[in-house]
Amino acid sequence: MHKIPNHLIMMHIIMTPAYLSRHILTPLMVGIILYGLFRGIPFLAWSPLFLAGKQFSFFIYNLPDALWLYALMSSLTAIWGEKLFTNGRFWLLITIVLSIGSEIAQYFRLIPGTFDLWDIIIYIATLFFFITQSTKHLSL
Amino acid sequence: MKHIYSFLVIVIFSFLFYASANQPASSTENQRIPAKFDFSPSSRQQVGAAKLTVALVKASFVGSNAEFYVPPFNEMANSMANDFEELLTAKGFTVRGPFGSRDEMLYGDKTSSDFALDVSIDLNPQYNRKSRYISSQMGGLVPASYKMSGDITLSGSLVLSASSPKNGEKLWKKNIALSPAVFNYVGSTRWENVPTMAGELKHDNTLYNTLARELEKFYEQAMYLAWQQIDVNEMKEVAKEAIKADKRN
Repeated sequence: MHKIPNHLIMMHIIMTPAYLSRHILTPLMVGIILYGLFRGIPFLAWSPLFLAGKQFSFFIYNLPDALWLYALMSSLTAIWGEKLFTNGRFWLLITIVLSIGSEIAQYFRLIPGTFDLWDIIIYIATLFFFITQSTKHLSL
Repeated sequence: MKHIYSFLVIVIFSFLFYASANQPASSTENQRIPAKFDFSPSSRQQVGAAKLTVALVKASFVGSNAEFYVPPFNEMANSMANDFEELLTAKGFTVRGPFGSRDEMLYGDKTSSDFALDVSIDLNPQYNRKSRYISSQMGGLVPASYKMSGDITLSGSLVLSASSPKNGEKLWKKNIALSPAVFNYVGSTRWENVPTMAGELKHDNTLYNTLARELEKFYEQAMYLAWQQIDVNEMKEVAKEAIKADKRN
């Protein structure tokens, strides 16, 4: 009887519908719903359904970005499995550099958008949360 | 293969982030809600029923504060010019104008008007503004800035004056005192330097919205009192005086 390689077992665990649903689809969809409801989707010519006050700005402006970043890093986990932090680290690094770099580029008006320091803080917090979750799933 | 998947996933998510970064803000805090300066007379006489023709001079602010030339102040003055026209028409007057000033009136306008009505908004806004210095963050990446807040006191009166149309001799004046309003605001814009009040009003939607709501109340009160103060019979007497004054000069 052949022994199943360790990384294939990991891939099997990671690619389960439960993982895909909890760590990729749910944060992705929650982010899109928050966005669609409170900020609209110009691409689809949808206007915001609700206007929220400043006290909710974190949920409208920062949380969707954090959820999407988490879904993106979880997608990379699904692709690379336990090798995310070794063979796949380049892509993880690209993700971090692009997310934080895009905010810095917005500040210097190199790309369109509004700089928000809270976005950078939330990206870093998301990264730590993702590493914590990954150590659970990948048994690191 | 994994590299291609990773690349595709990052490209797809980048579109989401890009769309998010380009989205205009839509929170009520940052959205400019235009001021609504509107007055509807409670009753309407037949047009021209008073058999008096008024040359209306556009409402303007007394003084030359820079902020009077930016919204919502200038919007208030423009709306008042239109609403005074409606008010006078509803009272049964025939209205000529509104004119920018009495000097803008043509000879024909002067000879066919019984008197000229001048509307002045003598608003005396007092500002007690405070600037909060926010030092630079992230090693200078986010530069130092200022955030503004403060108290605003609005007080003053609406001054209506009637004069003879040809020579501009003052014949009638009503000073309608308006209840003062005191309110505070916390600006939402970060400034490199402490801005002027006019600059702040142009760019800070939170301040605009706060002030606009207060000016709307002020406007409503001013127009209501003006509606009560302008009496057709009294203005007929003013018209007689205007004819005498113009003949005298």
